Amino acid sequence: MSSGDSGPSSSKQLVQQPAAAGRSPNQPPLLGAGGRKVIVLKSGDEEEFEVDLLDAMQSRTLRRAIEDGCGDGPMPLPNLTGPVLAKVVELFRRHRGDPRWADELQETEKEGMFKDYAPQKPTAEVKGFDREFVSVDRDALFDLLRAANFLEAPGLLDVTCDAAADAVMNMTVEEVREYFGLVNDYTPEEEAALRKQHEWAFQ
Amino acid sequence: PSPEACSDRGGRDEGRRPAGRSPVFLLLLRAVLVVAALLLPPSSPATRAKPLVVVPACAAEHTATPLTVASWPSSRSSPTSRSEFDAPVMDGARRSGDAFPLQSFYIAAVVTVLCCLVALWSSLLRFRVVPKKNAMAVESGRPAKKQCVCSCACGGGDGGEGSSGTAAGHASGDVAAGEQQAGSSMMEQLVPEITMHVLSYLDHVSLCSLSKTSSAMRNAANDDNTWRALYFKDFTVEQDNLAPVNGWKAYYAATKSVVDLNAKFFDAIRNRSLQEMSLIWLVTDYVKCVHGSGELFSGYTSVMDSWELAFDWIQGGQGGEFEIQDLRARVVGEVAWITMTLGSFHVTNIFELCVRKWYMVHHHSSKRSQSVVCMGKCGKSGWGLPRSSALLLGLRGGHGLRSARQHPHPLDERLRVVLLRQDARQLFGAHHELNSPHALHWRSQDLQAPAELGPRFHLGGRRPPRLTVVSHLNRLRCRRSTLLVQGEQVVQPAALELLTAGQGRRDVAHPEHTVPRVAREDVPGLDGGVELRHPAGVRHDADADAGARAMARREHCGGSVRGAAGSARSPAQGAAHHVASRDVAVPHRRRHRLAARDAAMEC
Repeated sequence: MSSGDSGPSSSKQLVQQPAAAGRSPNQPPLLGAGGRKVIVLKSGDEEEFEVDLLDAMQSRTLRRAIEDGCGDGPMPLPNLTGPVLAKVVELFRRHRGDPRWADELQETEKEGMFKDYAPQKPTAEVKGFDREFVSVDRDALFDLLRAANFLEAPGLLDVTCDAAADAVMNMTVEEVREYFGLVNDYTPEEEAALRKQHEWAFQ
Repeated sequence: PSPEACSDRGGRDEGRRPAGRSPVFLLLLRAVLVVAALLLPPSSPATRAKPLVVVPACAAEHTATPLTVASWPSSRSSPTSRSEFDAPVMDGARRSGDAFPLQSFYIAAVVTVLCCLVALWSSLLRFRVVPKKNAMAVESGRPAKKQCVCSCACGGGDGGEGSSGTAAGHASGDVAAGEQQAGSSMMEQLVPEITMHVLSYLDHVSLCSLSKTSSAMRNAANDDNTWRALYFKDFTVEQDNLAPVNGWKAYYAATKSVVDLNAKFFDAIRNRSLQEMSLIWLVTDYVKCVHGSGELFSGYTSVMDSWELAFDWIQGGQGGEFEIQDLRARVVGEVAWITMTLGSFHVTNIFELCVRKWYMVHHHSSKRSQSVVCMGKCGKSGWGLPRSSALLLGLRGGHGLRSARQHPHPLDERLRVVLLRQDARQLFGAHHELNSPHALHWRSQDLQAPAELGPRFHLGGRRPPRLTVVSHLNRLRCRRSTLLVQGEQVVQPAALELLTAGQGRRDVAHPEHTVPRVAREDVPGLDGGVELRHPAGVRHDADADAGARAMARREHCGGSVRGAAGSARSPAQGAAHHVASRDVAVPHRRRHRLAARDAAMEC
C-alpha cells in the first residue's frame, strides 16, 4: 500500500519497490541472502520480475527457497507464464501486511527481520484490487489458481478460490459441467437417484 | 450411489496405464517358473521354497506402485493360477523325496537370480518412466518442484548454467504435459486441495448442484469437512464435539429440513392457516402443545382445535411482527428439537422423523422474564415480580428496590415493560387499593405511545396518549394513590404493556393520567402476535369483574368518584360524563350496569 504506481503492464518490467525502506541499518541480515532486498523471479517464458523479498515471502514455496539460501540468482518459476507472474507479483505487492500471511510470518520469524510487517486489515483499496484482480476469463482464472497452488500463497489462494466459487455459484448442472469441462459419467438411473437424494437442497 | 463405487471406477481408469506392463513380466516369470519346475521335479524343500519366496516378492514389487489398487485386478489372477500350478509340483516333490542333486540347485539358483534381475529391471524402468507419463503435474510435481526451484537457483548462483537449463527443461516438460491435458477437464488439473478450497466458498445448493455433475466432482463436493464448516456457518457454533454417524452432509440436510419445517410452522401462525398447521403436526394422540398461556393440549385433534381457536383470537394484520432469534437446532437420530426466542417468548419445538419426513410432535412456549428497566445497578425486587414491573409501579425501598420516582439511574427508553395482570394481582390482591407507601406515581415521560405503533394510536384529545393499553381487557387507571385494575367482561386475560421512555427525573406530583379509550379493533395483540389466550381466561376475568364491581361499589358508596358515581345513576349519562371529563376510561356498558346494580344493592 505504500507506493502508488499502477503495477506491471509491459511485457518486460521490473516492479520497483521501496524495499523495506524503514529498516534500520543494523538489522541482522536476511536469511542467508546477505542483506538483499529484492529477488528476481523468472517466468517460464524467460521474463524476469523483481520483487521485494518480504513480498515474495507471502508464497510458502518461495519462502522455503529463500530460507534455503537460494535467493541470489534469478529464481526460475517455469510453471508460470509472464502475464500470470506479473499479476501475482502485483498482488503480492498490494497484499503487503495481509494478516493472512503476516501472522504466519510472525511465527516463523527469525532475528526480528519481519518486525516492520505488522498485520494490517485489508483496506477498501485492497479489496477493490482483489475484485479487479479476478475479473478475468475462465482460463486466466484457472492459470491463477494453479499459480496459487504452486506458490502456496494464502492470500492469492483465497482471492482466486473465492472468485472460482463465485463463478459457479447458482449455476445449473449443465453450466457447471461446461465451465469446468466435466464429463457426465452418470447413468440416467444414477442421475435420477442423485436428483432424488438432493431434493432437500432445492426446495 | 456410494462413494466406494466411484473410487472403484476412478481406480480402474487410472489403472489402465501401468497395468499394461505387468502382465508381460508375469508371463515371463511364469515361463521361468515352468522351466524351473520341469527341470526340478525331485527338488528338496529348500529349493522348493526358493521360487516361492522370490515370486511373491516380485509380485509385491509389481503391485507396490502408487497405483496399488489399480494393478490388483490384473495381478490377482496370477497368484491364484500360480498356486494352482505350484500345488502339483509340491505334491510331486513330496512323493519323490529323493536325494538332493547339486546340479538342480545351481539351475534353481540361476533361475532365482534371473527373477531378481527381471524384477530389478522392471522396477528401474518404471521409476524412469512414470514421472513423464504421469502428467498430473501437481501430484508428482510438488515435492520435486520445490527441490527443483532450489537447486536451480543455487546452480544459477554458482554459475552452473547447465543445471538450471535441465531443470527448466524438466519443468517445461511438465507444463507441456499439462497443456496436453488441458482439453480434458479444467477441474481435474487442479489439486484436490484447491478444489476443496474452491468448494469451501460455496453454499449447500451449489454443492448439491456440483454433486450432480460428475462422479469425481461428487466425491469432492461430498467432503465431510466442507459440510461441517457449512453447518457451523449456517446453523450454530455450539455443537463443536458433534460427530454425526452418517456424515456431515446428511446431518446438514436433516438440520436444514427441521429448521425449514420450523419456519413453516411460524408461517402458518403468521398466515393463521389451519391447513398449513395441520400438515406440520404428526397425526398421533401423543403430540402435545403448550401455548403461551400455559395451557396444555394433548392429541392431534385437541391441538388442532387449540390452534383453530388461537387463530381466531389472534388479531389480523400482525404478520411478520415477530422475529425468531437464537435459533438452535439439534438432531439425534429420528428426533430433533429447536429452541428459540420469539418476541417475549421462549419456544421449544420437538420434531420426529416419520417415513422420511419430519413432523412436529411438541410445541412449548412460555413467557420470558422481563429485562431490567434500570440501566444502572439496583437491588432486586422483593415481590417476585419482574423487576421492571415493580419498578414501574413505583415500589419503594424496603424490598431492595427504589421507587421509580426516586430512581437514581436513567431508565432504558427502548425497553417495554410488560405488566402482566397476574403481576398486578400478586401485588395488590383481587381488591386492590394501594396504601400510600406503594402509591403509584407515574412519571409522564415513562408512559408514551410507542412510535412503531403508528399514528392511529394518537387517539385525539389535546394531549397525545401517554399510556398505551395494548391489551383489550385491563386498563390501568391512576387516580391519586389508587390503582385500579379493571377487567372487562370480554374473556381474554391480558397483559398490559406500558412503555417506559423516561430519561430524566421529572417528578409529576399526581399526573391524573387518563387511559385513552382504544377501540377494540385498533388494539394489537401482545408481542409478536403469538401470545395465545384461551377461554380459560374467563375465570380470571370473572375475578377481575368482581374486583371492578367492588371498586365501583366503594366509590359509589363513598361518593368520591365522579365517573363511577355518575355511571351508577345512568350508564349513558355516566359515559357522557366520562367522555367530557376525560377522566376515566369508560368501562364496558354491561359491566357498568352490573357494577351499578351491585352498588345499589349494597347501599
